[in-house]
Amino acid sequence: MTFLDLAGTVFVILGALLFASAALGIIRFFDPYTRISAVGTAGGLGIVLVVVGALLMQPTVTDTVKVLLIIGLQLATSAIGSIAIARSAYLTGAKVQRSLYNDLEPRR
Amino acid sequence: MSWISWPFRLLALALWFVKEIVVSNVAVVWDNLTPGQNSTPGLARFVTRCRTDAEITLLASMITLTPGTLTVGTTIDDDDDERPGAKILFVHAMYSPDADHLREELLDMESRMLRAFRRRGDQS
Amino acid sequence: MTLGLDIGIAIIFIACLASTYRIVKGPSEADRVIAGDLLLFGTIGLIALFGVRSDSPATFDIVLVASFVGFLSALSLARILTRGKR
Repeated sequence: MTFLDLAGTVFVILGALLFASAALGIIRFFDPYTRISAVGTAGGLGIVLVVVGALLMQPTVTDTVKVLLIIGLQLATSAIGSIAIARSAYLTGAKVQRSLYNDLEPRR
Repeated sequence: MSWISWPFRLLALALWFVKEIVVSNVAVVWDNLTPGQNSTPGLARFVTRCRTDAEITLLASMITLTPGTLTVGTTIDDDDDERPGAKILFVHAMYSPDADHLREELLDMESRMLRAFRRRGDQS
Repeated sequence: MTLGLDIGIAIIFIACLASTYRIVKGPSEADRVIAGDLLLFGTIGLIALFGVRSDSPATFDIVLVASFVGFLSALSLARILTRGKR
């Protein structure tokens, strides 16, 4: 087992643990907005860690270029998807629960 | 600032943003794995200084990519007293104690983004 | 070397099961859409890990395409939530 294999294994397991945390988050958190935040950990850093770890196990030059493209695309598209879901969740009337401040609702 | 330092400013923004993503991921994961909830959720209205659609898209994406903060919507306020036609973001946050604290954090991120993204580095 | 991959696959598989539970249970439709989003990310991670484990040469091409078109599902699910209104 070389150093790259070891680093790849660590990255893959860290990324998988982020997925587990996100899964725990969508079960434990209490409204759609906090759940989107939990999924954001997996969709951003989680996938990046898993893919980089997979690359480190069999590194080639072409795959490195592809992984850089994947990271850029994944960060951009997961952000757009999260914004779209949050916006439609608000439009369908999901309340921001336990909020300490809310500028979209008139003051009580 | 001159346009010669533009690529370096973009690189510095990318490095700062990577650090920010890791820090906020740790915050969300920590709250998730420890029993109980210590989040203080809320939704704040943030008046941006962005001029173009590209800038506000980048800012909204950066806010969403740092876990814990989430862009819920955008609007353009034509009746704003100070700056008519200002682009406005509605941001949901989990770990800001009040709206003004959240707005300060967003202002910091916006300043860094505009300084790096605009070729001349102007911020108004 | 494949042990780490196996552990990663197992953990992500459990995460996918949890998001399936949220899809079935989900109090509101928005929760279901969010869990579907997590299921998509989990599938992308599983593709990457399975591809490396089976020495497939096309692994990262598939992951590239999946991460490129995957957000279309989130966008269309969001559109379904609002019943086609923008």
